[in-house]
Amino acid sequence: MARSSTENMITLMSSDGEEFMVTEKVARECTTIRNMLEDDCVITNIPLPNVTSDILSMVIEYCMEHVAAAEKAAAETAEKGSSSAPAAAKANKDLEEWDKAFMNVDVYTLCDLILAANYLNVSGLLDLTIQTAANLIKGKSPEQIRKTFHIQNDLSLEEEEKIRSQTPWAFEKSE
Amino acid sequence: MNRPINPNSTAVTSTSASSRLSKGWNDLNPDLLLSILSRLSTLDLIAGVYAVCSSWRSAARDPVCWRILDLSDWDAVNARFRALVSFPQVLNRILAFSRAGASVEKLYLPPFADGQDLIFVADRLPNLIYLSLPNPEIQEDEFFLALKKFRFLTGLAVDQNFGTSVNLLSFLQYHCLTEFKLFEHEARLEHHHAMIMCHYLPNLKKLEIPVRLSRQAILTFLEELHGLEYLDISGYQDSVINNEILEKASRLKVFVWHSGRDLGEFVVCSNCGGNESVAEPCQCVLEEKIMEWLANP
Repeated sequence: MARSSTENMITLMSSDGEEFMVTEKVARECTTIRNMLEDDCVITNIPLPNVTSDILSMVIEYCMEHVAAAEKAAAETAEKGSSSAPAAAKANKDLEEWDKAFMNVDVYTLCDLILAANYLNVSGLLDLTIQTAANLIKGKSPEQIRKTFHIQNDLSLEEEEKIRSQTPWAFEKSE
Repeated sequence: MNRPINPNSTAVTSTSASSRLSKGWNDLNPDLLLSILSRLSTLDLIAGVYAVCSSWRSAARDPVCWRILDLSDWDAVNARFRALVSFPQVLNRILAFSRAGASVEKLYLPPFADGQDLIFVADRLPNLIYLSLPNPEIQEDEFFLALKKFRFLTGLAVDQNFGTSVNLLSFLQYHCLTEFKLFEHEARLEHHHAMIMCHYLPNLKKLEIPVRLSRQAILTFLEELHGLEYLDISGYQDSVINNEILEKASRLKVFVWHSGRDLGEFVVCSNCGGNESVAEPCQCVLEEKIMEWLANP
């Protein structure tokens, strides 16, 4: 749908100094930014020292996709008087598929996205990334989890020995 | 889709190590790590997360992760532990690790857990508010002994034979249950069973009886349980749900039933007549039509 040309644009600046121009509507998907805009409505340039440019561009991509989906659903409702359940269900499914594809990232990027979603307070993205991380843990042994997330095992030998003696069954025949 | 306008550089698609601010998964903020871990099952925590590294280990001890202990799938427990283990062994380890005895709210026991296991649970987790006990072969005296210790119990799932026993129900009336579930059983749940259940458990809000039952029993539940909000009668397949039932069920928040016409099982929310938000589109419009069609063939 056509964007109004008078829509406010906001510039977001990443930690490494890159500037991203987005519509106010997209920026407002981040609750942290929405609060800033509500406190000071003339603000147009927002530095984000905790988010790198590559992560910020992904967060913006997510927000744009979700704003577009909400606008499309609202337009369809306005057109037909009421939303049709099958169409809305399909739109939801499409967005879920998009989210799923969007989460096809390495674990470092996932970690940074969780931190950015938390810092910018994008609740949908935070939920998505947290759930993706939880899904990566499911069904795995401690060794497999360490391997997946590139985690250093910093448990002392005594601690490890204690764990083994408490739950020996968890360590037998690890694949 | 428009890419964000980025005048200074070309789009970057992968994260390079040098531009990363975070230190990775070892040092993830404990609150965020906890919100990930709290979405995992009992098994993933006790057979996986707890021995990963010190920060994950200490996060996994948080009581938030242990509100629900689900040990109902015992084959999965054995598969994860790669050896045969006993129920008390596993429960003891979980409680020793998590120090969560006081925070466990819901416990789902494995199918074989017997009266002795139940008493063992009652001694260690007296604050349970929900207990799922699928084993049909439990001595009544052991059952009662354990129930006496669960002083805060508001939800119970049991075999149908227990769930319709006057002895047990009259004992349960002092617990003020709001949630009750029956596991499937060969016998049909009849009108008189429904009458005694309603008599002894008048405060039920959620009732799950996906068992075979008579139409009169359904009507009794709908008429007698004034606080009922959730009813699952997906085991009722004798004939098509009629208008009388649908009308009486219209006050429920959730009604799960089997159409009997191979349309599958679906949830009907009868309360959302005007509640159509864009974010959560209501599917009741469609289902109401199916309900009308089913009610007036």
